Amino acid sequence: MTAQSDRVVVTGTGALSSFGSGSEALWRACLAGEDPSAPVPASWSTYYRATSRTWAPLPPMNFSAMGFSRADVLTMSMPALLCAAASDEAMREAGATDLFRAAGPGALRAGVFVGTGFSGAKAPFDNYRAHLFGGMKSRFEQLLQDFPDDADLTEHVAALKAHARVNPLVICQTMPNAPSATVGIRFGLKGPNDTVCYACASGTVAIGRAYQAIKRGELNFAIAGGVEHLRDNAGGVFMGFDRLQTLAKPGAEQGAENRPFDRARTGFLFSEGGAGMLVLESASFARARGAAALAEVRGFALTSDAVSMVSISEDNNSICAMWDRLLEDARLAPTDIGYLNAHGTATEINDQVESALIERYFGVGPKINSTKSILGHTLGASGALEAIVTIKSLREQRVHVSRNLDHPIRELDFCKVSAAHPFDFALSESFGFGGHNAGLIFARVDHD
Amino acid sequence: MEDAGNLERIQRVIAETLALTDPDLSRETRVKEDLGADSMQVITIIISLDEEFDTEFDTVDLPKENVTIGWIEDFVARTLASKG
Repeated sequence: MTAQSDRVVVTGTGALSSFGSGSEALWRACLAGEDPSAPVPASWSTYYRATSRTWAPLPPMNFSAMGFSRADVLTMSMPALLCAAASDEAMREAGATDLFRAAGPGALRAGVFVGTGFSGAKAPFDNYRAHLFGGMKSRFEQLLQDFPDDADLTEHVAALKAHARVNPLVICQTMPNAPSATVGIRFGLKGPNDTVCYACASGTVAIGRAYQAIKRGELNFAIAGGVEHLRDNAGGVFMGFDRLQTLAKPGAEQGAENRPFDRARTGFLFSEGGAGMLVLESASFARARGAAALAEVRGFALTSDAVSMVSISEDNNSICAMWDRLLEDARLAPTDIGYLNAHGTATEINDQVESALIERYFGVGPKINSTKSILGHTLGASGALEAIVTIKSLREQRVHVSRNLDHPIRELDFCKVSAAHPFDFALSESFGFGGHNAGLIFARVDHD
Repeated sequence: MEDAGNLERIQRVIAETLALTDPDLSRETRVKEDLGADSMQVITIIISLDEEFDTEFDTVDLPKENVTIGWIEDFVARTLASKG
């Protein structure tokens, strides 16, 4: 058991997801097994033919009602807005909104850690369209005056949708570090402001980095999590994943395509994105200011396969090595883990390898589910959103259903329904393109 | 070229963007030098005018210094006229 002062606790969570604003809205949707999937925007088919035609869009976000000014909404990138809004919620829950705004010396011991896979991909994609097509469109329009009955030309001109000018803030909106910088500016945190990029493991690594900095005594306080926003006007990011053949194929029924750990899985449900942000602090700092702990961050580990950019295999990976280090950091045994929030993408290889290794390492021990079976895959935000779901699970001693798991690929203790489940320690893990394996262990705060 | 309605709308956008509580604005007011705006805030004003006037103002000719409210008003009028 560590000394009280060495512990790292979570005191706030915030989320924006396909289920709207709020970490509680996310958690309730998980328990209810809701399905946010919908057909992709019809306009994308103007530009390419995709194999997958389903995604999980975000609902309209009323940032004005969340306290953002018109200038904020017009100038900030969507990832920065999502990240700031999720951080607002987390800081409110932690009672820390104004804690560092006076810029006292304590602000230097407060940091920001944000993980993202693509960050502001929309900004360069859409502005490059303006850059390339703005002039071309005027010339086509002149040509159309000479050939007004040319149906093909009319169709091509209509497809050249582009802003009339390149946004003067395109650089600020593209910078991967814009979300983390926005959060630091918003709350006056003057310590390290880190952006980590580990593809789909980014959110998990960001929380892990914050935990390590606090555990080492470098910081008292951190806002940490992940963000992603993957909608652009022509569906360019979606197309990239579609061409990699990683996305869920169309099924007989809308909502049945997304099937992590099921024999009939065909790929992951592409999500428009989201943000999950957590407030982490040393237990002594939280106690001194009267902040209640929601959970303890008990361990973190990160390894790399160093084998393939996109693939994993059962016999040549560093996932078990990550678990070894994670459990060592948490001073726990595999049998202590009562719940495992899996990476669980629903791609053929990921689920095959992940489930086989879980069986080999943990046996049929922990309850297992995939939050991606509900949310789809939010890439760089997924680890943070799943960490929030894991913390909610610990606090309520309930685990959510893993959707569409009709015929599991392996006899593990999968969550077939949302149900009560007593447990003290939970593991949330993420794997990322590039061969990254990251895991976090959370503990109930009343566990001793 | 000026339109009294445009000037009022521009002044409102500037006051909102710069969070001015009791603005005393005229055509001669310089956005940076008199109101303390930085370069990012001047661009933010122009982008906010996009929404206000439902068009897109190109910032390529935006001067680095001495951007007065009068210059912005003329710039808005010129752009709106060119778009018909």
